[in-house]
Amino acid sequence: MKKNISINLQGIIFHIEEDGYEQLSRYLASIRTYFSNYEGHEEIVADIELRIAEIFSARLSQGKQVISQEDVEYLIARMGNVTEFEVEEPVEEPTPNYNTGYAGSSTASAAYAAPGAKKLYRDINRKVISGVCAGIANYLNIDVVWIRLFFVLFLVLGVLSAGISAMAAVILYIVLWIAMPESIDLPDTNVKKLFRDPEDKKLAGVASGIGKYFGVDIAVVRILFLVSIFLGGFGIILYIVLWIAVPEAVTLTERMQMQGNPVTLAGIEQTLKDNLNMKDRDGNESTAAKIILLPIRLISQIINWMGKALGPVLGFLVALIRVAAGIFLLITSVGLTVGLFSAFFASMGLLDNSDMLQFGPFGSSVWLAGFPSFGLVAGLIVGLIPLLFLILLAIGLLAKRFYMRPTVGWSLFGVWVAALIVMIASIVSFTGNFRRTGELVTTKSIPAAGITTLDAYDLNTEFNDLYIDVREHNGTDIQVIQQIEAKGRDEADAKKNAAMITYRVVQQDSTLRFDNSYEFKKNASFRDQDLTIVLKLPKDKPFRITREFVYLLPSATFDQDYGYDKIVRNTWRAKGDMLECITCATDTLATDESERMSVGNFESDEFNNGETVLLDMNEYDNNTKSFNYTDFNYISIAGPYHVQIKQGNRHSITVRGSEKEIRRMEINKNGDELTIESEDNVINLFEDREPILIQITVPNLAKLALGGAIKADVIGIKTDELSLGLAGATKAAINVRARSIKADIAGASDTRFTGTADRFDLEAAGACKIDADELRANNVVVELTGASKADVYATKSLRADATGASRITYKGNPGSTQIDANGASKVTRQ
Amino acid sequence: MKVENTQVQMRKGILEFCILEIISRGEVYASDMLEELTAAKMIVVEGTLYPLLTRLKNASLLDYSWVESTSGPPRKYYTLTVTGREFLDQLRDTWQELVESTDFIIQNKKAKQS
Repeated sequence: MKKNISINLQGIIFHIEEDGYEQLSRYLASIRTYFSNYEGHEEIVADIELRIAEIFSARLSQGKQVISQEDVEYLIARMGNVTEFEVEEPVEEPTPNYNTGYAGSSTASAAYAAPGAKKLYRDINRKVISGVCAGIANYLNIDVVWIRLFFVLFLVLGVLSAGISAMAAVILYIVLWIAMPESIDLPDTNVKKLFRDPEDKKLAGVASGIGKYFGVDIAVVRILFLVSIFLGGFGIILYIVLWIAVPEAVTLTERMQMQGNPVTLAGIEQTLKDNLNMKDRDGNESTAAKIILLPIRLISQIINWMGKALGPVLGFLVALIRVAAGIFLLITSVGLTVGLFSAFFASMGLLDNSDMLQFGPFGSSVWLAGFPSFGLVAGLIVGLIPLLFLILLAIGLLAKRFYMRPTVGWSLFGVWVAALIVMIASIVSFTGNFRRTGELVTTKSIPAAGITTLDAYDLNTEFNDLYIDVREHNGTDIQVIQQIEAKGRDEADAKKNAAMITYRVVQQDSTLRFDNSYEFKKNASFRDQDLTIVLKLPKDKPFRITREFVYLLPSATFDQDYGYDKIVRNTWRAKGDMLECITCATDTLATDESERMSVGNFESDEFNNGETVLLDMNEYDNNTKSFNYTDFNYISIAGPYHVQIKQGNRHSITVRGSEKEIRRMEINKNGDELTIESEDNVINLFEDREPILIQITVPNLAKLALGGAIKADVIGIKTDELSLGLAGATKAAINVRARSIKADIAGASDTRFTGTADRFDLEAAGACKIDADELRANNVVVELTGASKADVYATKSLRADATGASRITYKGNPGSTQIDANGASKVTRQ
Repeated sequence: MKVENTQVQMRKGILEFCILEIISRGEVYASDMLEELTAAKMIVVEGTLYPLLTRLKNASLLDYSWVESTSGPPRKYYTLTVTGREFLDQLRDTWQELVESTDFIIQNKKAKQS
C-alpha cells in the first residue's frame, strides 16, 4: 500500500504516489529556478506544467489511476532536466531590447559566478509595482513577502497615526525606486516562501499558508487568529495585511515552495528511523525502536485525536464569524446606501419639507440652493461606490467568494476619483457664494399713539438667535429698523440674498407683536443671513412688555436683574440704549424673595440669557448645607468646584453635594475675604467625583479669585470696581455691570463676559479663551501673551497688545485705537 | 573547444526557423510540434521548446489561442502573426543563401580534391 497525494497541475487533479511526488516537486523547483531569469518565466513554467499534465493524462487509463514514480521518471527523461537544457541552450540569448539596459549575457553569468559582489537591484521579474521589495528580498536572501509586509503594515498603520507612517512608507518606496537600478537577471533565492493556500482555505487561505510555512497545524493558526480577534481586533488587521501582502500559491511550484519541510512528528519518526537503523533482521522494528518511538507516537495520536475533535468546532466557529460579519456588513452598508439616496433626493429638493429628513433648522433645499446639481450627483457617486464595494464584500463573505473583476474594480475606482474631483470643484465653486458680505437696512415707522404693549410671537423655529436693540429717540413714532447681513458672490448678490428672509412686526390693537425669528421666503437659499432689529421708542413713553418679548432682549437692556415677573408687572420707558423701570420703585414684591424661593429649580436664564457653564440644577446632589459667613466682598475659591455667585441683599453661602464631599471643603473668612479650598492637596484627575455646587450671594463683590478646575457662573453683579483673577482650567460665564473691571487670566481658562463697563482691563497669558464681545465697555485695554484668544467690545477707546500667537478681535467702533501685535499675533476688527 | 557546443550553436538558429516553418502550415499545438521536432532530431528534450515559444511569442512573431481538449488540459494553439510571416520569409532567404554558400564551399573543396 502506498500513500497518495493529490496535486493540481494547471487545473487538473492527479493522484500521485508519495515518492513520485517528492521527485516531481524537486524537478519542478529546479525548472522554476532555471527559468526564473527568463523573460516571461511564469508562462514558460505554466506551459511546462501543462505539458506535464498532458503526459500524465496519456499515461493514465481505467486500470491505472495513480501517477507512480516511474511515470515521473519517464516524464523527466522526456522533458529533460535542467542540465540538459543547458547543453541544448547554453546561453540565453539576450533579446535586443535588453541590450541597452543590461550588458548582456556575459555580465549576467558573471553576476552568477561572483555572488560575493552582490548589489542591490530592483527585481523586475518578480515585481508587483516596481520590484523594490523583491530586489531587497533578493539582496537579503529572504522571502519577499516579509519586505512587502513591512510596507503594507506601515500603510495600514497610517490609519492610526494620521497618515504619517503611510506617508513615510510611500516616500521610502519612491526613493528606493529612484535609487535602485533595475535588473532582470536576479536569480531566484532558494528560500521557503509564504503563500496563501488556495486549497485549504476558509477565507483567503492566509491561516493555511502560515501553517504550512511554519510547519504547524492549520488549526493552531486559526485558533490564534480567532483568539486575537477577541484581543482588540489585532488579528483582523493582521489577516487583512497578510491577505494583501502574501501572494496566492497558483502554480504547483509555488504550492511546493509553500510546503517546505515541516517539522512534523512523522518527519521526526522518519529521521530517527533512518539514522538509528532500528530494524532487526526481519525488517521489523526492534523493541528498542518501539520504546524510543512510543512517546512520539503517543503524542501524535493525541494531536490527531484533538484535531479530529476540534476541527469541526473550529470550522463552525470560523463559519459563524464569517456569516455574522457578512450579515452585519450587509445590513450596515445597505442601510447607509438607503440613507445616502434619501439624503441625495432631499438635497435635490425632491423630499423637501419632509419630516423624515431635517438638515438643521430649515429644509435642505434652503441649505443647498445654488449648489450645482452635478456636484450632488458626484457626491452621490463618491459615497455610493465604496458602499457598493462593501455590499459586494458582505455578499462575498456570505458566499465565500468575492464577485468583482479587477477591470470592473479599477474602472469603478476611476469613476470614484473623477466624481471626487467634481465634488470638490463644486464645493469650491459653491463657497464662492459666501465670498462677500452685504447689508440690507429697512426702516418701518409705526405711530406710537395707540401702542402700549410690546409682545413677541413664538414661531416655533429653532434658530431664534435674534436680538432687539432698544434705543431712545426724539420722534413720536416707533421705528423698527431691520439690518440684514448676508453673504454672496459680490455685494449686490449678497444684498439680494439678504432680501430672501422676511421678518414681521404686527400691530394688534394696542399691542405691537414681534416675531421671535425670521423666515426664509420661498426658493430662498441659506447665505449666512443674520438679522438685527433696532427698535427706536419715543422718549418717555411708557410701555408694558411681555415675557416673550423679554426673551428677545439682550441682558444689557436692563439696568439690573429683575425677575420676569417683576418686568411684566411694571411699566418701562426707553432711556439711552436701555429700558428704565418707571414703576419698580413702588413695586413692593421683593425680587430677592421670589428668587430665593426658586432656588430649587434655579435657572440662570433669568439673569443672563442662558449664559451658564454649570450643569442643570437637577444634576447636583439634593443634600445642601448653609454656612453663616457675612461681611465679605472678596471671594477666593480653589478646587474642583462648580460655583454660582450672584448679587443679593444678604450674604449667603449654600453648598450642594454629598456629605462626604462637603466635609472635605475648607471654608474660612479672613477680614473681608472668604476662602474656599479643597482639603485634598493633590487633585486626582481620574477620580470621577460628584460635582459640588457652591452658591454664594453677596451684596457687593469687589474681588473674585478662582483657581483650579472651577466652573463658575457669576450672575448680575453690579459694582463700582471688580477685580477678577482666574487661573488654571477655569470655565466661567460672568455677567457684570461695573464702572471698572480688571481681569487677570492665566492658564487654559475659558471665560465669557457679558454686561457693561466703563473701563475693561484684560490681561491674559497662556492658552486662554476670552469671549467678551457682549461686554460693552467704553474703554478697553487688552493685553495677551502666549496663545490666547480674546473677543472684546469697545465703544470709545481700545488698546490692544498681542504677543506670541495671540489673537484679539474687537467689535464696536472705538474712536481711538492703539494696536500692537507682535510675532504671530493678530488684532482684527470683527 | 567541444564539438557539442558548436553543434548546439549551429542547431540553435535553425531550431527557431524550423518552429516557425511548422507553425506556418496552420494552427499547431506544442505537443504536435514536439513530436515532429523530436522525430527530426532537432531537439532532444522537450523542455527546451517552451522558453523558445515564449520568446517568439513575446517578440510578437507568434500568437496563440486556447482550445479545450477532450482528453486532458486545454491546449495552446499557435499561429504566425504578420510580423512572424515576414520574419520567416527573411529566414527562408537566409537559409537558402546559407545552403548555397555552404554547398559552394563544400563543392570547391571537392573540386580541388578531384
